[in-house]
Amino acid sequence: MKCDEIQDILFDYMTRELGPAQSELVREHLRKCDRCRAAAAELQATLAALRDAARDRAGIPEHLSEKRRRRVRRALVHPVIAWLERHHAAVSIGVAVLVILIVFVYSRAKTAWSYRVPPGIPVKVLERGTEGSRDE
Amino acid sequence: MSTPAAQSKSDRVAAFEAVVAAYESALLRYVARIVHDESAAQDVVQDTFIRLLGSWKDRLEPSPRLSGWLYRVAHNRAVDWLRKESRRRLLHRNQAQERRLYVPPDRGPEFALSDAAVRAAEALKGLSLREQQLVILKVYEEKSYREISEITGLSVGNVGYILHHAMKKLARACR
Repeated sequence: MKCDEIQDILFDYMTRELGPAQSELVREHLRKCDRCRAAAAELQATLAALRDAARDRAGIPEHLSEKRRRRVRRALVHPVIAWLERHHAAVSIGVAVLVILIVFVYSRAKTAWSYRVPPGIPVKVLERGTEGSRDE
Repeated sequence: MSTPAAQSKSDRVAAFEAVVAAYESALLRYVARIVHDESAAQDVVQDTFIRLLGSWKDRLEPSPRLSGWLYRVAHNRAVDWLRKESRRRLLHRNQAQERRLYVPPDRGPEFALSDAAVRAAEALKGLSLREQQLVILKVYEEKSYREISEITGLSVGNVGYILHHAMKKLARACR
């Protein structure tokens, strides 16, 4: 294998992603090639630095907070409440629209009801220029 | 394989608790390294588990398939959060400046990182989100290419290719 090909798979080799035959080829090449050995050393140092950085757990919580854990548990036991909580913005808007609609329909119905003609009472229709008109 | 219907409610609660216990730390670690915000990481992982309840149709028990699903959903939620956060930062530039000035607490010499580690961690933040994701999964979480392929939906070959180039960039930055 050529140096470029070896260097393309150095990271795979270091993280044990290669099969035994390919690993042996890389090992054999590194024994003989200074350039690839230098590339491997640089990659190894970067990998070691990253693994060292992985020790830093600042700002990384180990567990879910009690509040979040309760929410997750509630989602399991009371899925409807959990769904409402998660979509509270949409639910609030929906409820507000529904209330406005109900008030509107109710007020229209109330107005129509107050002007309704009770059954059994004859309706007198006044026409312009006939008896009862103010023009006379 | 038994279906969720075969799991009684108490079994399902216990199974779910077991899943949370098995994956919460790993997911929090992974998401916190992507979003760099402890509270956001908590929210993302909480939402991931809640989503699991609505979406997972098979039996609830730790498995490679479930693990892949959880990482995938957590990653997508983390990316959503980052997008929202970048929009919010545009609106609140001053606040963003304060965040950049944040210095991690000094926790004593036994926790002190080497200069190379600090440089590597900084260089990692400069990679694309996809490259960061693969490096975190491979180096920090020690996942195999096959597992990373299941989480990301990339082919195994593509995972290796992206990682190879990401590591070259990191090595250059660490020189």
